[in-house]
Amino acid sequence: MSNPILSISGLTTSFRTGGQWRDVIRDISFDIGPQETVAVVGESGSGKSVTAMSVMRLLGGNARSSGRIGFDGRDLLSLPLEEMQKIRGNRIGMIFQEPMTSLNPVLKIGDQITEVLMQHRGLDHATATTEAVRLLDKVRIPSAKARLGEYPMNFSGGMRQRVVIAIALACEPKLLIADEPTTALDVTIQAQILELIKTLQQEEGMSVLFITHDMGVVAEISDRTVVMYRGDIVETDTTRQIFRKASHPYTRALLSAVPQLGSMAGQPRPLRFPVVDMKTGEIAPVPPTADTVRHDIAPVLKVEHLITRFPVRKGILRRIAGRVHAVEDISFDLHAGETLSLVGESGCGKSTTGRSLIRLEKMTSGRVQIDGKEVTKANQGSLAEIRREAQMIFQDPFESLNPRMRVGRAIAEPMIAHGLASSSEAIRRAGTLLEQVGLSAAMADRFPHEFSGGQRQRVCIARALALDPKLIVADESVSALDVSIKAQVINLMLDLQEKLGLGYLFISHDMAVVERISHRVAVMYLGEIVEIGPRQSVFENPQHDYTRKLMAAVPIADPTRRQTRRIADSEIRSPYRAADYEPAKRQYREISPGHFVQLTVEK
Amino acid sequence: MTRSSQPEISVHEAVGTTALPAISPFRRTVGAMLHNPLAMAGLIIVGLLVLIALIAPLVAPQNPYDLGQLDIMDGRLAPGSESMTGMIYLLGTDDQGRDLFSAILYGLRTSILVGVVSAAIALMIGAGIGLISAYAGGRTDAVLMRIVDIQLSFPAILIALILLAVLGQGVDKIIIALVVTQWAYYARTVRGSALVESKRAYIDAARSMALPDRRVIFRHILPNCLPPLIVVATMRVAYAIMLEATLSFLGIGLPVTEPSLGLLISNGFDYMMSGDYWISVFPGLTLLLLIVGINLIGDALRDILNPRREG
Amino acid sequence: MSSYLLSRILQAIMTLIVMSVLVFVGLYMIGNPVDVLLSPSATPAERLEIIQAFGLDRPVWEQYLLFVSKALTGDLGNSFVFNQPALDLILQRMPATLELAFTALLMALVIGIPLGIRAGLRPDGLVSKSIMTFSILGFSLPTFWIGLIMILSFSVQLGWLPASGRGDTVDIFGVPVSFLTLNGWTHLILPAFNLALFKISLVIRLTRAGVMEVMQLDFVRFARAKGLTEHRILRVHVLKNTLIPLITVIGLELGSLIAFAVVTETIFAWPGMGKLIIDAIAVLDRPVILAYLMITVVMFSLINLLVDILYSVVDPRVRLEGASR
Repeated sequence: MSNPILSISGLTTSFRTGGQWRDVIRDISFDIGPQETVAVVGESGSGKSVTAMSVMRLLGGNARSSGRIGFDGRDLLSLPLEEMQKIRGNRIGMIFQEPMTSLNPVLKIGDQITEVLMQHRGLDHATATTEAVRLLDKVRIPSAKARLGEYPMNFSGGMRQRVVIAIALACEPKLLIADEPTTALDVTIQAQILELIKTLQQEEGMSVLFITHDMGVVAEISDRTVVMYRGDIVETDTTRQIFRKASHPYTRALLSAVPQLGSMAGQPRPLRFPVVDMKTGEIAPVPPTADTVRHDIAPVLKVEHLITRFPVRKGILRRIAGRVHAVEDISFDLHAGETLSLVGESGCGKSTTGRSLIRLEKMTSGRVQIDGKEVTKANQGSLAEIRREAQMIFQDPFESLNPRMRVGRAIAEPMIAHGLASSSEAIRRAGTLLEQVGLSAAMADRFPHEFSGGQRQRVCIARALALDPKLIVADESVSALDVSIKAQVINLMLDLQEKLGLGYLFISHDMAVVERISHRVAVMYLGEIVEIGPRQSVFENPQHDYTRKLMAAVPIADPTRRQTRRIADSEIRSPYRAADYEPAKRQYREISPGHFVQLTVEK
Repeated sequence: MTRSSQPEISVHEAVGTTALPAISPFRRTVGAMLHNPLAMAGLIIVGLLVLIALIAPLVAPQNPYDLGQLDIMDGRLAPGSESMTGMIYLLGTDDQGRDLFSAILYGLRTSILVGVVSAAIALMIGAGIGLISAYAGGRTDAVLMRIVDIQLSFPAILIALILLAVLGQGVDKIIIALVVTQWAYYARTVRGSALVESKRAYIDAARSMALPDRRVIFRHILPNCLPPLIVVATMRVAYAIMLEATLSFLGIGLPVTEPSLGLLISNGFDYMMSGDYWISVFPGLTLLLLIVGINLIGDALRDILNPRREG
Repeated sequence: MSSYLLSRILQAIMTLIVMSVLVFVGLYMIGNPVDVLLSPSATPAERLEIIQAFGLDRPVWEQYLLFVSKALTGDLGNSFVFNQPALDLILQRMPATLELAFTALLMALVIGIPLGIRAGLRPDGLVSKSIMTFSILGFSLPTFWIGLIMILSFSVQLGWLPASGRGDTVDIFGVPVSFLTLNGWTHLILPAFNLALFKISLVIRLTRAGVMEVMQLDFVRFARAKGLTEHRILRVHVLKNTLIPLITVIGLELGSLIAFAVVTETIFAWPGMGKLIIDAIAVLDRPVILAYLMITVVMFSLINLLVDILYSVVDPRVRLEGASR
């Protein structure tokens, strides 16, 4: 490669914890050429973000770096701070993961852009303002001029990330460092931002260092890829080569755990993820999945015309000014042994649906039956009985266990509270349950903070199983987990389904995971189900515009299938409506057996 | 047992902490306290002061409340003076010939008693109201919190002044006044943390397992509200002791017959200009030591129990 | 914006009504109102006069309305001791107290904010640790006792500053103030610092906590990545976010300073309304107590209202939420 823009060699960064220095990344070396995009990919704890922050020297006082970071013929690590400040935001731009918090909430957007221009390019305020308008236009923010005087709270997440990009590119940097820039965004917004970064890269002729955990995004955007694992680089190659034939077992394990949208074509049943031996890199064959769906008995969950709305009150009199139509007239059933996925973007009502079913949210109207028992009108006593049949697993394994309770107790508690077992019997069963989810019974004495994220999620599953339920509502249960852990937990869930005949209502935003594990799929948008049917039928023959848009937006972990997509720069709409709003009655058309699509109505 | 559940390696395992036995959050806190020199200093100071306050009748050379033991002829003797009967006044005497050392020991008793009892009552009332407010939500919550806001916008000393002006003097009266001025702090703290906790997923989990409300509140929400409550309570005890001393100093707290530290300082005030500094200075130093000690503990607890540092 | 303001004004009025009911109940229902309003040495004829004048023979709600209407016209009874309208007494002394409280507040901010920022920027440094130790001491020192020690050292031992009184005053718009004469300053500085000490510690701790919190936020990291100088990051990004929440605190603390002036005024014989109320409590001069109470209630409600308005002007989030939600 001729004259790299950025040349990292022998970079080691350590943090001081408890008086000791500990290496977080070791001996990292790679180059980025002109106009090249290099992705650094890895799971949490791999050191990928620390690498990016080390380049910008943003790690603060309890970190130190050694090695060489060559940029523009100079070693960034040995520059005095004043010189480094002239490079940051000027020659190297950087964007971060959280658009909601990257901007100062009490400063106007305009001031946050112009301060960079005035600092680095020496513009006066008037010229800087004109330039700021041009920049906002460039990142496709409509009516840019008017928005300069607004505060970040007036912008959506996607729009804020555009502002952040505009600031990072304000001084036409030679290198853009993007640290998980789309991770916090919805998939359609992610597609827009990725497309924007690609376009701007070509327009500006800059290089990009892209930090991500998402193999799909890697395949989508990068020319070359650096794979990191626990502070080391395990593999560096062209992106195509890595996806075609990775040489390191870790890379292979990582790739085998990544679901690819469309790879399930022709597969009628869910499929486990292959398990890779971390030493040899050998991939064990995936065992066939049994047919678990029990169509012969009555469905374990029956939902009819469920509506959940939240009133929004305003003014001094707290009058209802409008309502969030979180769930709007949805109906479906779920059989024992079946997985039905509710999929959609943030605000589509998928989580509220799950929570309404067991009355964690108050439903406005509709009818829900679990195992033939009426949930809607149940009193406290019978509700308790119903909840035994339907358990929930939540998204964040760090939040869903009481930090002050030993996990054995946490698992035993529901059995004791429901009078199903004596205290000692319950504790003994808790041990068995822990073993059933792949942990050991001896771990019952530990507190939640002593477990990793994946282990905690297993504990949550064990707790959900304690009451011997027929239905499990899994609300984004694997979304917060690293790819390889995610694959393991999903495999566990499939194992348990085979063994116990559980019905899963799997709530997720991740189309690729949904495709892998569902029997049936319901796509939700603005509180409504726009399309529902057998997984194969919905994925292979999507009918509704929104389903198609959603599927087109998913990055595919295969660089040979890279596509230029035309995702309209639209925002995700809000289900907030005026108080007197009456939703239209929806009509559905049956495309194929069991596959229904909502008919678009003229507004 | 299953093919797929190969053991994943956690960060903890990588660092090697899983070899340690399970440590409860309580023991972690105690451990951290013992490693903090300022906290240790606070614990030792407060421990010693509480101890000598408890055994005051055994160690005090004189019962300062028993007027029969006082000799007005011994009034305002300098520290180290000898009484008519040959007793040494270690810290001197006040205007009524009271041995200051004994008076301080007894005053300490009163101060600690008033501070701790009022804080305990205020904590129970406040925590109860805070929990109700958080759990009931809606209008109940709005009304209760409005009352708390209004109460907190009026300085404690003002409310206490008014109450004591109406109620009169006495240990019971001052405890009532202190409870009234303090409950709102506890209510707001508990309600705030209970709201945060009840929105966390483990409470949803508890509810989805249909655990009884009582169990959810007392076994799940309340224990997790304790850390901020403990910090607030520590600081509030210090404040209550200081407020009692201030009110007694102003002559509207405790009666002259039960000299608390504040009253002793007040007694000495008049003689200060004439150079009899000890009557005010020694009780003041004792009070200062007690409050500093408690605040050191509170400060260390605040750092240790900070939720952002919990893993 | 206007709906936010309106709701705040309504809340302030609500507070006033609630407090007037509480005071009414406290003074009229619990004690015998005749005793409250009349000196113990009054004749039976005077007694009857009071009962009729305040309508104590009428239903409770009428009595309350009468109490309110009298309070609104400024009639809160005559002081037994001074035999003047209680309200006039309070108003005469208010400027002295306000001068003391504002000077103390200014001291707390001018000393507390810079120290707090310093301690928040490098929390592990020796300087920061010293500042924090000082602040623990600062709010552990009982105001009245440290006042005595200050008098003992600066007035009795060193003889630098006077121990009591207000010194020479100059009238501004008919209100006497001390801070315009050198002699006035020498009288003002000790009591003001005494009153401020506790609040200095408080401001240090709040500022430090605020700075430490803001410094960890993403937008500060992003500001660094933008290549801004540390000076600009501190001045523009950190300070604004740190100081906005302080406004509420300052409002509450001003009220608290006015109330705590009671202690300082007693020690330094500062002729303010705090000294007056303590004297009134000692001799049970109830009309003065009542007047003091009503004045402070009104004053605090006004301060709270002003703070809310100020807050909404400075913080776009409050302003915009008030309008849109």
